[in-house]
Amino acid sequence: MPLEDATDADLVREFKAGNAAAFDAIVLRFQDRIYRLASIWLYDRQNAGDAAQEVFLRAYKGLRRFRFRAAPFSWLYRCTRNVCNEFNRQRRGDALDDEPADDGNRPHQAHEDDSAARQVRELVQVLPGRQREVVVLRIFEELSVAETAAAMGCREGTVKALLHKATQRLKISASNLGLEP
Amino acid sequence: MKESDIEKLRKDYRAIEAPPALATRIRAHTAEQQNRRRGWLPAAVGAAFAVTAAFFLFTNLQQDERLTDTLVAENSTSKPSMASLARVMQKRPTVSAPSMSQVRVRTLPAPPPKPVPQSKKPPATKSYFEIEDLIPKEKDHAHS
Repeated sequence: MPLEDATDADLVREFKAGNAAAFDAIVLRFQDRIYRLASIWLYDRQNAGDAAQEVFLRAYKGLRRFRFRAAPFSWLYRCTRNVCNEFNRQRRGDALDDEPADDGNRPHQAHEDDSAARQVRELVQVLPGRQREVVVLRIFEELSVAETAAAMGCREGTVKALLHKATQRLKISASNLGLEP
Repeated sequence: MKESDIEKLRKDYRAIEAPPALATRIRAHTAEQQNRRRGWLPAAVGAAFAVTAAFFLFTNLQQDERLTDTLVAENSTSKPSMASLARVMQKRPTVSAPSMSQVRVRTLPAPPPKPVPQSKKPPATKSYFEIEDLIPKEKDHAHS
């Protein structure tokens, strides 16, 4: 089976078996998603690229010990969150979860930025940390409830509840966005 | 923000792509890590070779020493001196002589009486003279 058609888990299995091309396939499959997430959690394009690179370098070491208790993307997502938190801590001395809602004079605004990522970031800034994650994963990354729950390490019911609260706060309807209630 | 705005924003957001150089950078780093990971191999092979060589050298030296010891021991074998023998003899446990109280005289039962022969050995049936008669006499050719 060609690596492009293999499932995520199969790619990781191939990589664990020593197939270096499988890791390249993993990078090609997830790089856009990881970069997008990093560009939301971080504040400039250069940093997002560095963070994405760091995520994959950690994956290169860590996926060898992957035990398939969760989907490979869940593992990568958590790794991305950790790396972004570390980057933010290094830059400003505070983690993403501790960000205040109003950040008008942030240094990121002076940097080159993906406008769409910036708009998403500005949209979810009014939300608490967990609701922010749910909105990004469910609405913008279009993950299913189960995938979102696996990525966030919580139950599906929690994801639905968090999404409900977030959409209420943003004054949008989840069903109008094509999301299951 | 309306749903239509979010829909548009979602579309724009999904259009964001990773920089094209990202995969190349990652590949270069992983290749470097792989080289670094294999970097210890020559050192490990060298160390293993050194340990093996040292082990064989040590084993051979021990064998040589044993052989030398054996030869020396063989060459130095000589008759034991009387003094060394006396020392060995002294080390032997001495057996104490039994006391007289320990000595007991056992009374053996009386032997059975010897059977008395009822008749003496019969005499020879032929006397000397009879035997003499049996000896063939030489022919006296002179008288014949």
